[in-house]
Amino acid sequence: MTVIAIKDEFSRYPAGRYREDGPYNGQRFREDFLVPALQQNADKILIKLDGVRGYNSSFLDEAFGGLVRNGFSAAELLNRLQLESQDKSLIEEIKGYIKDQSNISTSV
Amino acid sequence: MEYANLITWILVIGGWIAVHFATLSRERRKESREAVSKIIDDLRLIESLAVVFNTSDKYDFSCSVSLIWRVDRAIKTLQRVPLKTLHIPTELLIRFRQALTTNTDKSSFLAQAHDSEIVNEIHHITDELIDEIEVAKYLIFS
Repeated sequence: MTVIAIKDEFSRYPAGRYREDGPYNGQRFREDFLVPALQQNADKILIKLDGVRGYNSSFLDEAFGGLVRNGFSAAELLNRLQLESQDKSLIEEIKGYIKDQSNISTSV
Repeated sequence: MEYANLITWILVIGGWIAVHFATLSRERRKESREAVSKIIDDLRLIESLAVVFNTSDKYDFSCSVSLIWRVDRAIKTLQRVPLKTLHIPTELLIRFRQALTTNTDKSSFLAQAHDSEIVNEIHHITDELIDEIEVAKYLIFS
C-alpha cells in the first residue's frame, strides 16, 4: 500500500486550485502525488488528510475530482483511494467530488 | 445501635455520591452550553470575515488563508467533544466549507456585490448551521 501523508509529504498549508494560486495547490497535488501513485501498481493508496491547517473546496475538487477529469474512473478511485481523517466531512466532500465528476462525464 | 449507624453512613455516602454526580452532570451541561455559545460566536465572526473578503475590490491573501483556517477549525470543533453530541449533519458541514471557501483562489477571485449569490449563500448556510446547532442544543443540553 502506498501512503501519502499530506502534512509530511506535501504541505501543512495546502490551498488553491491551480498552480498560479500558490505552491501547494490542488493541481500540483494531483499531478505530482496522486497520479503517479495511481499509475504505480499499488492496489490501495492511503491518503492521510489530517495535520494541515485547512482545505478550501477548490483544492479538494481539483485534486480529487480532477482525477476523474484526467480519465480515472470513479469506481476505481473510490476503491483504491483510502481517505483517512478525523474530519468526516472532508472524506465525504472528496467522495462527492469524485462522484459528481463521474456523473458529469457520463452525462456529456 | 450499630445497625442504625450503618444505615446513616450508607445514606450519607449515597447522598454525597448522588449530589456529586448531579453537580458533575450540571457542570458538563454548562460547559457544553458555553461551547455552543462560543461556536455560534465563531460562526458569526467567520460569516462576517467571509463577507468582507468576498466584497473587497482586491484579493486579500491573508484574509483568504484566515478564512480557510477558521472554517476548518469550526468544522472540526463541531465534530469533537463536547459538540459532537449535537450530531450536526455532515452534509451541512460540507456545504458550509463550500460556500465560505468557494471564491478564495487568487486566479479566479471575483469581487462580489452584497446581494450576490455567493454572499447570500454565505449568510444562508451560516444561518442554517446555527439553527441546527440551537435546535440540537435545546434538545440535548436543556
